[in-house]
Amino acid sequence: MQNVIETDALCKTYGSHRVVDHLALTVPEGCVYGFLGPNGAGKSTTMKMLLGLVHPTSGTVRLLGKPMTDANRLALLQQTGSLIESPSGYLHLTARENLEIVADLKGVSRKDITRVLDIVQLTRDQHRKVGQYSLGMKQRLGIAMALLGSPKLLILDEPTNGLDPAGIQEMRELIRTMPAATGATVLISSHLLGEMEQMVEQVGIIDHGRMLFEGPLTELQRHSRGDLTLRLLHPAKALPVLRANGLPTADTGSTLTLPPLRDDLLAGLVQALADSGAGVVGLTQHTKTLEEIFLTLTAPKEVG
Amino acid sequence: MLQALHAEWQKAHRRHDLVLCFGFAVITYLWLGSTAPTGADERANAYSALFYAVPIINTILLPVMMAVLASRLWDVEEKGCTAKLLYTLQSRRSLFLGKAVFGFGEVALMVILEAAVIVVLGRTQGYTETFPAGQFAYLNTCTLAVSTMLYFSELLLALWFRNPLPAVCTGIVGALLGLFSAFMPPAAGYFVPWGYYVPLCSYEVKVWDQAAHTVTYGTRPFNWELLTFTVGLAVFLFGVCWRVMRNKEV
Amino acid sequence: MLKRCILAESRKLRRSPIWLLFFVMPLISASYGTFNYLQNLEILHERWYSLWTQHTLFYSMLFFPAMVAAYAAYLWRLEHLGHNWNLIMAAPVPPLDLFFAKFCVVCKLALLTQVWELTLFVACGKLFARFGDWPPVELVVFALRGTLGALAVIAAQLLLAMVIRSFAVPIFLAIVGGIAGMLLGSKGYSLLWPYCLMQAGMNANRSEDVLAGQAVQFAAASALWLAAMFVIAYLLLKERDVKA
Repeated sequence: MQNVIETDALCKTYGSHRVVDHLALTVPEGCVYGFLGPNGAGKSTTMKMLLGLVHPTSGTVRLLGKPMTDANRLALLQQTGSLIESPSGYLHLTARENLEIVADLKGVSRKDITRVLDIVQLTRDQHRKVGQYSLGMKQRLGIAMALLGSPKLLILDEPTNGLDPAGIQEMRELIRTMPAATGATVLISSHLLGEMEQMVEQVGIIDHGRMLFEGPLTELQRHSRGDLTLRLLHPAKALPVLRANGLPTADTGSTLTLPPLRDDLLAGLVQALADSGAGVVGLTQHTKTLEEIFLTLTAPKEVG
Repeated sequence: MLQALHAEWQKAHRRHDLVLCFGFAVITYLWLGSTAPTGADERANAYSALFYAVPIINTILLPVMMAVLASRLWDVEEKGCTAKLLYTLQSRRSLFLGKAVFGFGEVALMVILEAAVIVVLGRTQGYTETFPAGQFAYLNTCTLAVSTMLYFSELLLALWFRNPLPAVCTGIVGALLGLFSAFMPPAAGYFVPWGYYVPLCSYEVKVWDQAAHTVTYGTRPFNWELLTFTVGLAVFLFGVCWRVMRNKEV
Repeated sequence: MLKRCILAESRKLRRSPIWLLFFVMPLISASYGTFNYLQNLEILHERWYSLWTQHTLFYSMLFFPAMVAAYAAYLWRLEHLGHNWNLIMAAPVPPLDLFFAKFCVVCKLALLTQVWELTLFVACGKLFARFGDWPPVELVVFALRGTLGALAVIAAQLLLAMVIRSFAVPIFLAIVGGIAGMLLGSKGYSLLWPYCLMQAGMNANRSEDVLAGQAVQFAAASALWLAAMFVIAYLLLKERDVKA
């Protein structure tokens, strides 16, 4: 599988402030990639560098297998749809007129406008001035602009900003099915992990311009195994077994808290406890929410 | 009130309005200075010539200048969508007064700079005519009155249209009309507020010797009626601006 | 691609009443010019030529640059507002084409204004000054020459409006440019400053041709200024980071 986006040691410095710091971003083809990080982590700047809107201080960007250079830029942008920062738009024109402008600039047929309006459900409001739109509608118009011409790569910067819960749900559905429906690869940024869980396959977590984690969502979830709670009838009988397995044996009455264990070890332990006559009543696996993982990854490192 | 004024001052921080005001002074200096009096007879007539020329240059420059300053004053709120924020933070009265006082300060600064240009020109170019202090005070008062009136008219347009375009276009068209009214029969000038600088002017051409290319200037009585009317108009426009700002829906 | 940009650009101008300015300004200029000509018949003896100077003096010196400036600033304001820089710069068109498209749109209107100005001139000459003959062809040449000189002003104003995010400041600078042009022009340095080119081309302040024998230099200066503006625009669009 080819990588649609690859960056190598990408840096951007404003004055002495390093916004993006040796970032290596790899987005495989045909996936939805969630680009996560708190506000001001460097997400927008990275996305702008991917599109050539901002010039990297150093490092390289490859899109769709080709380096992003002055010579390639237009050809690459032709196959890219984007929504960066807040949605753009000419307020004195209607949604359709705005889309006509973008269609002209992209060299896309007019017929596509009807399609994208339908996708973002603005068909009914297409003849209203964008100035009268709500934030959510502007956001949807911005996505319609990005979708024009069925690009191979979609770069969406916080596209769910300003949408209501129903709108977020629709957007999620739309983005999740995008690779299957159009073969597009989607890079989507957010500062909320929760809203990404149900739509992305790959994640990258960035903070202070550095990539903290990159990989499949399932791998991130593996970090999420939390403690186990064991409820016993006769905790005292369980202590020797636990000690034998090298596990902490704090006496807390009828429940015991165990650190996360591999499945086979856990099965063996439960067997041994049952054999010892401790009377296993319940076993609960706690999972860290992704928010917690996210926080542990992005939390400032303790000093000393 | 002082707080509101201070807020306006901070908003103007990176807006470079001061540069504009000084830019205006530099242009007037260059323009007025480019026709430096040459002969002794011209130097003896120099202040008269200058006081005759200043209102015409004002007519060309100041309507646009006022439109630029006034529209910027409101456009910062429009661009930052800050009106709805400010209306919750301070009373509309204090917001308006802050803007009005700040704007008037800018206008006054420009008038002072122009007055300084006149004084500097008189010194550097060796005018021999006695400095007409009364005329000088009258000229600057008129400039201040007309400019303030224009300033509030442009601010009104900027408030109405939420867009600087109408104000600036009115400034440009007004300058053109004002300039032309200066060369029309005197009565025409009274119908063009952008050109009030000229009918208020107390200097006029007495003798124009076409063959010798010399002009002799004379004075005419101060036009108190029009000056009063201009101040009245300025107060009226100030009131309308306040009403618009007070009743504005954000 | 340029065609697409121009199409997109003219689409953006729907519903904007800015053409009104271009309609009104020559009208004011013409009525004043005619009036002044008729008032000063005793000193203006050159008939069509005298009427021409009355019509075009202030128009080409100050108000045409200001008008073009308003138009250019309006076009760029559309991009400065609402994060549209991101939109246009991420579009698959060369950035200079965006600039060029705006240039073409302004030129189109400027050309129409010149035609309108010329029409008014002839109409005023015929109707009010009651000239029996038709104006000399040379005056049409002046108008065309003025338009050529105006191109540099248009490019300069588009450049200023692109860089300066404020709407009103480029217009102020246009007036400054026009006045500086008038001062430089009166000293004979017309070809050294873009804002002089139109005044000189229109031959707005004298009856005899100020550019007699200088046609080539004039064309070269116009082309050079125009090229310089485009090169600067190109470099700025290419090198600067997009800030929306």
